[in-house]
Amino acid sequence: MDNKNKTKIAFYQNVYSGPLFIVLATLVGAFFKYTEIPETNIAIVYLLAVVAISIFTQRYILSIRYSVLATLVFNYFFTAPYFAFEIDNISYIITFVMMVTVSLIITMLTQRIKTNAAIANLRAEENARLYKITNAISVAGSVDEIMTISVQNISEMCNTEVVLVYNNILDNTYGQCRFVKGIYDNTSSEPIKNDIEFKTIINSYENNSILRKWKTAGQEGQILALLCMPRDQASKIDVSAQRILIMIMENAVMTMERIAAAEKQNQLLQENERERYRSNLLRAISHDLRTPLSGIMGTSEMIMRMTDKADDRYELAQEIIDDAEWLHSLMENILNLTRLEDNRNYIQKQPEAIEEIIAVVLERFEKRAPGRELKVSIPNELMLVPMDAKLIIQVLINLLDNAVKHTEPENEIQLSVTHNDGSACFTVADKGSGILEKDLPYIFQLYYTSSKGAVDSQKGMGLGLTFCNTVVKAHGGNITASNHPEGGAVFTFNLPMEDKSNE
Amino acid sequence: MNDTKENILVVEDDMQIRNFICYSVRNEGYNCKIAVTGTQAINAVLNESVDVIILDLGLPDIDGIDVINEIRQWSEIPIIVVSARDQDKEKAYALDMGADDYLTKPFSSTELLARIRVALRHVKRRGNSIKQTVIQVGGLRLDMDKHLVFLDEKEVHMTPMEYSLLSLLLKNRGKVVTTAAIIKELWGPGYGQDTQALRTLMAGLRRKIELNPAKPRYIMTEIGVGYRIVEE
Repeated sequence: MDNKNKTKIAFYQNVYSGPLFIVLATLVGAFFKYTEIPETNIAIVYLLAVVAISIFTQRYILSIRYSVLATLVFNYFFTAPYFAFEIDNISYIITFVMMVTVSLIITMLTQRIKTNAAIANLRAEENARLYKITNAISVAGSVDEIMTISVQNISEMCNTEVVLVYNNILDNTYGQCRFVKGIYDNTSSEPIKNDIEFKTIINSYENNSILRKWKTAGQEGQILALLCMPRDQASKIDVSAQRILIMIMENAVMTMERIAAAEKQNQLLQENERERYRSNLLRAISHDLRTPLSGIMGTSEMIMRMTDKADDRYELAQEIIDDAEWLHSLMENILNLTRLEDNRNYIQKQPEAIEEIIAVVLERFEKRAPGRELKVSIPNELMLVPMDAKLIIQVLINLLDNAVKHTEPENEIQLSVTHNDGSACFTVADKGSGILEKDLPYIFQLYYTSSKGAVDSQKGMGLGLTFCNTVVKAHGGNITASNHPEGGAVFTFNLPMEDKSNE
Repeated sequence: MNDTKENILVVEDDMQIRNFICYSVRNEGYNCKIAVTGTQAINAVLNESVDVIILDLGLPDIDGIDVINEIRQWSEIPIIVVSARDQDKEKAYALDMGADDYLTKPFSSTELLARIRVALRHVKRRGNSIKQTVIQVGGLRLDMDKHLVFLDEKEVHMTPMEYSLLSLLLKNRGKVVTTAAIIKELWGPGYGQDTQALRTLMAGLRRKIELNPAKPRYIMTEIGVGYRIVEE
């Protein structure tokens, strides 16, 4: 209705404004002539008429046509010879050129203003719609609600049937909804269960040629939402509506991503909080166990020093120290294991020189097993391996303790490090009885002790090997146990020389 | 009071540990003085004659680190830290603040007594010579006037960096010099915490003065903390 009216008005303006203004200009001219006002003013009146006509008609052809007519009429009535055309006069041609130029410029300017106004109007409409949707989305309680609101508005705006499939990245679920002319249609859509089904559905829509599709991707480029409507309906919606449609979808996806990012941040914060709490707790436990252990060990040493070696009490005190030492190493293993399983970042890798690590291991080994022979072989050249030195030293000590325990005092133990294809390869081998075949697959499992002894027999190495396994894995390496063909157990683990995790 | 005996101040709030430390110390022929709090410790150092301090970091009144800080304002008395804090960071921090040595609980009294001997030798050396220009440790000799290093009477050629590293450790012999302190001294404070260059430099130095770098005679590694040159 509105449009029709507008066209009608434009038609009347085009048809009638030209003659009307020329007649008016002629009447004013006649009045000037009559009152003997100079002729030049009459030309200006006609120019005015041409300007007015250009403003009203806004069309180049009409403007040119009426400026020609205005020139002719002026020529006919107001230049000598009166009531006749004088074509040869040079001023006639100048007047004509001026009038045409002015009419063209005015038409151009008015058209430009009109176009700008139309664009501004359109933008305001778009903004109003987007504002409305953004408002609705901002109070939405869930991603599904955000998507539904968006589709409903698109369906309303385009006055057609619209389907949306989307990936809810917040809890990684998938959804589908359909609206017909702004009204929810629940007839369709099986629930989408997983990523594969989502991709299948997207593909089937994409290959459907009677549908027009709009994809919206997330920040990482993956498709998060696909909007479809029948192609014949889509062709009816104008450019502006299409732009709004795309904006609505982008807005919906962006909002979803923002919520997901905030949620992730929140989770991370909570996790950090938990981690800090646990690490404080572990530190407190470590501290509280160390103090009485020092007391037990120190006091026992004191008793030993006060006692004659032949006295039974001397040996009893020595046993207390041994047990306290065993408790100490168990405590270190448990605490480190808990820290590692709690927090992958617990490992602090730094490039360490193999020779330094081995030197420290040797020193400690000599203290723990005085008199035992340990044959060491490491490369001559400097080998820097990224590792958490304290943990790897503990791994080696655990393996050596294990070897000491399972071999006779005169058996030699070997420790070697080799550079092997981008990784450092550590081997601890003994010449003892080896590992039972049936124990091999389980030897690194938590609390697994050899089937040779009872599970609760004291001083099992279960935790020691589990610790080794966890530490090596956390370094990106691998640990294996095997038997040497000539007898004896062989433990081998490797650590990558290139540190990928920290970069 | 027997003047010939060295005075060891034991700062520890746990009675059992204090008892056995004191017993070990007395058994070795030293005088043992006791402080239970940080304030008592500081007062004891101010008012009495003390040769070595054995300090627990977890004290009831003030943190052991603050005690070190306070004492270091006016005294060079050797401080041996004994602590249940087992993190390398805390160790290095205490050493950088001015502690001479660090033992993590539980420790053996033999270990503690060995560290006390090193610390006492330090005190004596400081008293004896005003300015040492030649440092001799085992077969290793550093002549600071001539900028030369000798191993078993043979001159060892060193790069300037290796020389700086060796002389830094020798000047602080018996003490742990932390990785951070070495890096700061050799590369300057802006260098950060990149240990790789130091590890490489150390490997080069060890190959010149150690027969077997995996069984060093002179430069010991304190894993995660720093290096130390042994004195005997």
